[in-house]
Amino acid sequence: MALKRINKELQEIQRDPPSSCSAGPTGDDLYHWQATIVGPSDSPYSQGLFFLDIHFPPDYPFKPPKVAFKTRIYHPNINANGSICLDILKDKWSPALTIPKVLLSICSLLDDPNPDDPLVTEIADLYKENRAKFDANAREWTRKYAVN
Amino acid sequence: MDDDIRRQRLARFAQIAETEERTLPDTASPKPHAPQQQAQAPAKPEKPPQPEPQPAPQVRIPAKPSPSPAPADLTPEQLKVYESRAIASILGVAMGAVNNTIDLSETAQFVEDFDPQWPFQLASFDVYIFGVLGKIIHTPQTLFGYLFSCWDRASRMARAAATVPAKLEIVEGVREQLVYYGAMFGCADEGEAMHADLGAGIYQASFPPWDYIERMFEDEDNVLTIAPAVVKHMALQLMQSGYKSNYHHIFTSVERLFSIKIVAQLYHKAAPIHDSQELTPMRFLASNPLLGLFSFSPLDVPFCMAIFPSPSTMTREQINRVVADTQPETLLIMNRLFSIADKVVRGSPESRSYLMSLLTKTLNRNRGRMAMQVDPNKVHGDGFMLNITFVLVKFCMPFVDFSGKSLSKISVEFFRSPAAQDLTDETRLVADSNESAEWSSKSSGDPNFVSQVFFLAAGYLQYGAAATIQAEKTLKRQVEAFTDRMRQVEEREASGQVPAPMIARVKQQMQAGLDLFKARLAALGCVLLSEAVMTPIYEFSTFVLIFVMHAARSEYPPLSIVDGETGGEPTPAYRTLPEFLVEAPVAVLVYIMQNITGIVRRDVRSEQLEAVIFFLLFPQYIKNPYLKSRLVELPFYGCMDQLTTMGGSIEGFFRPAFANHPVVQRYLLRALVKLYVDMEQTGRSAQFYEKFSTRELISYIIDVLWNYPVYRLRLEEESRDHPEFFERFVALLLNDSTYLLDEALSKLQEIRRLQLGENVERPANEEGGNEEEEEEGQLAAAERQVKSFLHLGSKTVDLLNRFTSSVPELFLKKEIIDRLASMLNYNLVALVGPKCRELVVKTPQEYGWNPRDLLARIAQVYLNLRQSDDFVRALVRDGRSFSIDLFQRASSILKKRSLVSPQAIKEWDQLTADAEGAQQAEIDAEAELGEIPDEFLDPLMYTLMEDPVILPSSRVTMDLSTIKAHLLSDPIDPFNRMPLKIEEVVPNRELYERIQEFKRQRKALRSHSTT
Repeated sequence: MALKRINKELQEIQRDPPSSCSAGPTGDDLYHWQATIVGPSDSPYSQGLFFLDIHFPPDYPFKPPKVAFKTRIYHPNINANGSICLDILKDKWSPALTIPKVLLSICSLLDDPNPDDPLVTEIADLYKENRAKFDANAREWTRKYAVN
Repeated sequence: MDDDIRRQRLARFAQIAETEERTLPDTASPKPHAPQQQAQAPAKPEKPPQPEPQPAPQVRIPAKPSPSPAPADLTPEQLKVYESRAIASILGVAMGAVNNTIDLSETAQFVEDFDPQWPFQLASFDVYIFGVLGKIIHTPQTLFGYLFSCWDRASRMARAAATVPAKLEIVEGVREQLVYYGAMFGCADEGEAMHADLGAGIYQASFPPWDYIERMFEDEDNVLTIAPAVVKHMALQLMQSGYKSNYHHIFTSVERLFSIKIVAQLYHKAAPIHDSQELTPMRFLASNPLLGLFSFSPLDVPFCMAIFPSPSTMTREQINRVVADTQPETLLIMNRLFSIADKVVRGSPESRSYLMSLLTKTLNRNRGRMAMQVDPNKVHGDGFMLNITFVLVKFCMPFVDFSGKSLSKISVEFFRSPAAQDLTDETRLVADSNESAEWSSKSSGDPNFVSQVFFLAAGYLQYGAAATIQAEKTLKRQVEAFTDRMRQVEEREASGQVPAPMIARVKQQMQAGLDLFKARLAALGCVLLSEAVMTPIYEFSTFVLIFVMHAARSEYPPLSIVDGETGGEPTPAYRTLPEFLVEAPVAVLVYIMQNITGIVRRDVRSEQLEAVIFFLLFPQYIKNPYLKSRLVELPFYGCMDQLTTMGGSIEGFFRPAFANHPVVQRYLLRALVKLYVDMEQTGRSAQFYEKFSTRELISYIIDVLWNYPVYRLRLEEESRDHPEFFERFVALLLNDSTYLLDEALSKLQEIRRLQLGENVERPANEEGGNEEEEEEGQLAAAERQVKSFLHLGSKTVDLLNRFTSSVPELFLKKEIIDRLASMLNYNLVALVGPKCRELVVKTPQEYGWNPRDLLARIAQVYLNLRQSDDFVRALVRDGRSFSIDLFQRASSILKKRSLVSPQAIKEWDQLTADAEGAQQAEIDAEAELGEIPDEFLDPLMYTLMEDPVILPSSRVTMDLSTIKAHLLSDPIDPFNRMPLKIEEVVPNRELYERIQEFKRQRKALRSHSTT
């Protein structure tokens, strides 16, 4: 049903790739993509390269794509399974959104976590209470899991 | 009695007592009664020795008039002698006489010291009695024990003297004195330190002389001082000693006390309500002793620990036996409490409002009982609250009438009355807090008793019964948690790493905690599982639902609904009614349906189903979606067949109503479908979970309804009459099936990867052990999730099956059929496609994973729609999963495993052939169109628009079928999130014409080039 739509998205992302992100099918399956995000330079994730998995459900674009981090990341809104707590991937999804827009939203989530709607409460608490320690942890994880 | 005289006399008595070397108990102790009695108990005989109703042989009755002489014969001298003997014998102080326990031999001397005017004269009665009482206080005998025995002797003398008026007059004179002094010592205020009040006397007497007590109450002032003191003594005794007290005697005595008309009449004046915020729950009861009586219950901790001393070692049967033995006793007490309350209510209008006010204030103090975390130090206990609930419900029984005749007596505006319970912060059926505040700012007149007792009972249904049901769930969780921890401790014990004494201590403490929880849980059964207690509560709960329906529509029965009617706007009075008027009865009814089926079997109430239909069909009457999802539990538990202990099964309670009830047959299905739709957007934080759990219940009920052909016919009719309504339902059904199956299948793949240790995509972790643990956690989580996704998913596919078979036309609209086709193909490819091995996991049965079964169900959906060309075309149009090869593989698997009938295989193969034909046509059509200009493409799907429309607020043009499909699951403009309805879109005629022109051109071009 969404074949044309997904093809169109792919064409656009290849023609005009957003800065600091990339995305495309992993293999011959057009409905299963892999994306990368470069950690924002002024964040503790800078210099990290994060891989994400994108799965288009059969009712895409009426329902949101399923996006998950494959690279471990220390972030209040992203858990150990790589699940992301982001409203546009849930009830605030709109079929007018596209993969590049979703990836940009994730980038800005890395830049600016939302500790008031956390997925990992311990990290959110640390973020609120001891920002320096949080930054240090996030940098450490980035170095450990996301550099090379 | 004149207070001054009374005080003087008491002072004198105290003085006399002082002069003796007294060894009084410690008067400084704040709770002088029970502990002292407990402490003294060993010194005393088991039962208070006094008074024996039979003539006490120890007491000589010198005055017993031998062959009674004619009245005329009695000279003044003789009468004087009789007077002296009568006094001496009634007081039991004849010279040298020995009362059975008190040596009164010195009394005569004592009397003579005080009053040399020997013999005894009525005029000096105070001297004698104080003299005697001064002695009594040094003995275990209580003051009233003694006075009662005096009364007893006086009564016998009066009988003996019945025919001699002059003698009778003398005895009567002594009796008056006894009444006078009885009343003087009767109230606890002064006598408390000596536990000498009337309450103590009554409590200790096996057969208190009620005629004596009634005589005291002939004086209204005595009622005001003594009656509350008696009740207080009884209540404190009960609260302190609980089941160890002589509680039957207490209840009998209080009941007898209130059967004295004037006591019931004036009690409101005698014991004003104490309700200061500083009072703890316990002190509140002690300050309002009438309430204290309600605290007696097997749910009381010492009581339940006594009947379930070691619940961990008791078998289920043993526990059940104790429960069964305790239930009649509990019922007896509850009925006693009712009888007492009933007497107060009948005493006078003031006493009636007094009791209502007392219970209202109690309710106001207990609203914390429904909190997520109940603080037991701030609210009253379950037993107490259930006792009051039962009593109030019994008051309601005379007007609980399912014909609806009494409904008009209950005022919907009751909560405006100052007498009503506090509803601050209480969620209302419809109104928000501002509206309710404004509405209740205008006060209404005094409510009638029916309204008052009805709403009060309804309040207790929530904070008494429903809160206890909630507490039971908490207790069960606590027992589980403790059992778990106990197991962990035992594991550590086995590991031998922890010193044995320490383990033993921990285990002992935990066992004690566990025993307490288990005993409390078992004791709850004595009340909550008692048919006799719960039957009136069951009836009342049903009646409350009927009341709310009636309040909404002012007619009864309320479901004489005309088709197409929307139910009208709720009145302000209705809107502000508290939500618990629905929540509590539903919680209680669901509990009874699950646990005490006998009650329901005897009296299945289709009114309950009507209430469910009513509130689901007319959503304006209940705002809270959670409450609606609770409602559906009634038909759910009512339709489930039950297993009997004999191993058979009985059909669900509501089966007969499903089969015969015209209103149910007409509206139940639509009501359920409506709830299914309404649960989509509830705006609650638990929305996601609630949505699926409610829909699961709905699909179970529809499963059962499908046994009756009438519902299928009904569905066909309804979907013709309300196509938009059912279209939305179908869209949600589709969303659910897609989502649930997709989640289930991807979780299965994850489980497989984890089971095979193949999770290679994750970069290696430096601490290897950590990662293993993490994967175990992931596996456990995925296993939990897959189970529920598979279960919910297959229930949803079942619904899809039923609906595609009964009303296929609902699925054939463009905005539905493409999504349905994609979903079916997507799952088909997962089940039989090249990657189907990815779904193979170890122990699939543990997750309820049966791929063949799912394949068969999905194939059936295909077959249900196979005759529609639109469906076949949609299958082919799906560019993602469709291939002829896929259908052929499915066919061979269906055949090989005999998953469907041979006839169905034939149909499947026909469908495959049809699809092949359609596929070629589709390819041709695509080729014909060639490259399409962007402006003709739908901006979301990038397909050629058939029916371009303009969205009014974002001004975007898109295809009608795309925006329809979108709006079915999310009613907003996708480009700016403004609310949008399908009626608001505007056809883009100009573009439509150009697209038509474009198609004509391309067709012409194509036919030109091919020729």
